[in-house]
Amino acid sequence: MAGSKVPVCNEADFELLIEGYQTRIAKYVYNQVKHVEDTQDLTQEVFLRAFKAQEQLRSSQALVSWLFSIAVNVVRDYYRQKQKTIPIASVQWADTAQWVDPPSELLEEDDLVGRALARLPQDTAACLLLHEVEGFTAREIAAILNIRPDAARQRIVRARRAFKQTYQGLSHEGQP
Amino acid sequence: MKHERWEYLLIDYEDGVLDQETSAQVVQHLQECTHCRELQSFGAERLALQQWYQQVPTAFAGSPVMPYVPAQREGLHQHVKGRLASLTLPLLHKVTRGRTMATAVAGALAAILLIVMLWSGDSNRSPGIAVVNAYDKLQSLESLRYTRTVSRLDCVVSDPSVLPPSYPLCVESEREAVGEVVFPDWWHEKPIRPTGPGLTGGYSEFIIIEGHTYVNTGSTWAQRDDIDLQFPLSWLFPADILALLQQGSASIEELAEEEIAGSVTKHYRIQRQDIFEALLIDLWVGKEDELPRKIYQRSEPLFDQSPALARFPISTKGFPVVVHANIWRAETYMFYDFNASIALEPPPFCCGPAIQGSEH
Repeated sequence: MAGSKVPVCNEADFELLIEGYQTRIAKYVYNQVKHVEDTQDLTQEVFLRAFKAQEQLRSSQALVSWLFSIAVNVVRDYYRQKQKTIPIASVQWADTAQWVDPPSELLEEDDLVGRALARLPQDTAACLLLHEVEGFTAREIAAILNIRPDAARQRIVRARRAFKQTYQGLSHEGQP
Repeated sequence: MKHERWEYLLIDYEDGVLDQETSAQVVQHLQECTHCRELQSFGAERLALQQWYQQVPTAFAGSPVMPYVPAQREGLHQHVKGRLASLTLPLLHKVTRGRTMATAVAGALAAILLIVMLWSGDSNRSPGIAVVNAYDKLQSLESLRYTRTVSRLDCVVSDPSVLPPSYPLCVESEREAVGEVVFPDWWHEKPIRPTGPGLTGGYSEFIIIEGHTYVNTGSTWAQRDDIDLQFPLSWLFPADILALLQQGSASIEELAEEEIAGSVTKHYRIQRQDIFEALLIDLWVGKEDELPRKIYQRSEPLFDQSPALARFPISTKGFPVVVHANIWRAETYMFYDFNASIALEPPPFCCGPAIQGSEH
C-alpha cells in the first residue's frame, strides 16, 4: 500500500531481495562501468546500502526504482572517485559529478552502441538506459535520480538526440 | 506553449501517463512538427540499445551474480551481521549493566519519550529530520545564487611496484566561482578566483538555458549541447545519505549555532564512510526559514578499501611510471538570494569571441 512502510528485512528477506534483483542491478551496473570485477564490487555495495537504508522504502511497488536509485548513486560515486584521480595537468574547473569521461579504453572498435554511449555524460547515459531499456517512466527516473520530473524529461530528450546523432555518425564512419 | 513542453509531453505520451485529451493533442502536434517526429523516431536506436544491453559477460547472463563470488557474498552477510551486532549489543549492554530490569525498563521508556518529543514540534526537529527538510526546501526553490569554493590536494608519486617509493610531489589548489540557478535546469557559473600552478586548463564559464549549453573555454564561447550538466543537488546530498538520515541512523550531530551572512543558523555535521571514501558534510541551516545557507563537504578517497577502488589511481604514462592521485577534496557552497528574480541570457557573442571580462 502506498505510503505505508515495508517491514524491515531480516536476513532471509534480504537474501530474497538479492536473489530477485541482483542480475538486473548487475546488468545495469555492468553496462555503466564495463568491468566485471568492479560490477561485482559495486553490485554488492548497492545491496549493502539497500540493507542499511531499508527504512527509506515506503512501498513495495517502489522497490525496483528504489534499488535503481541506489545503483545510480553507487555508479555516480564510482565515477566521482575515478574523476578524483585524473592527472593534475588536466584538472577541470567544472568538476561536477556529471563531467566524467567514461572508460572508453575498454570499448571495442565495433561496439558502436558502447562507443556512442561513452561519448555521453554518465548521467545522460544512465537516463537513456533507464528509459529506453529498463522501461522506467520519466517520473520514475526523476525519483531514481533525485531530480525534478521536468529535468528528467529534458535529460531523456537530450540523451536521445545526442545518442542518435553520435550513433548514426559512427555507423556512417564504418560504411565503405 | 513552448516547444520544449511538447517534447516533455511526447515523453509522457510514450510513457503512457497522459489523459486521453492531452494524448490527442500530442498526436495532433506530431503531425505538424518535424522536430518532434524526429525525436519520436528512436526505434532503431532503441533496439540497438536493448540488444547491446543484453550482451553481458556469461557470468551475468540469466544467472545471479553473487553465486559466482561466494566469498564476497559471505563477506557481505558477515559485514551486515557485524554492523547489526555493533549497533545493538553495546546499547543493550549500557542499558542493562549493573541495573535491575525495572530500572532498565524505566530508562527505555524515558528514551522513547525523548524520541517522541524530538520528532514532534518543528522547533525541536531531530538533526536528521532537519537536514532532510532543508534539502527538500532547497529543491522547492524557484531560484538562488551561490558561491562555490573548491580546494583539493593532488599528488604525483612513483608507482611502488615499479620504482622505490619517493617523496611525493603535491599541488594544493583552490578555485572559486559564483553561480545562479533557476530551477530545474537553467544554470550559470563563472569562475572568479583561480590559483595554483598548472590549473588554468579547462577553466570555464558556462551558461545552460532552454536546453542549450554554452561554454567559455578561455577565448571563445562554444555551444556544447552534448554536455549535460544539472545543478548538482543530488551530488550535494547523495540519496543514500538522505536515506540514512531519514531513518535516523547516519552519523549526524548538531553543533553550536552560528551566524552566516547575518542569519542565525543551526550547524549539523554528517559523516559517512563506505568502500569509496570518507565523507564529511557540514550544513548550516537558517534557524527561521530552514533553508541551507552553507554546505562544506570534504572527501578523502580510501585507496586500500576495495579492489575496484585500488584500480582507480593507477595512471601509467611514459617512464618512470607515476601515479596521479587526489588526496582530498573540499567544496564549500554559500547560498543566498533565494527566489530572487534572475534573468539568464545566452552569451551575446556566441559562438565567437568571449564576453569581455570572462577571459583569464
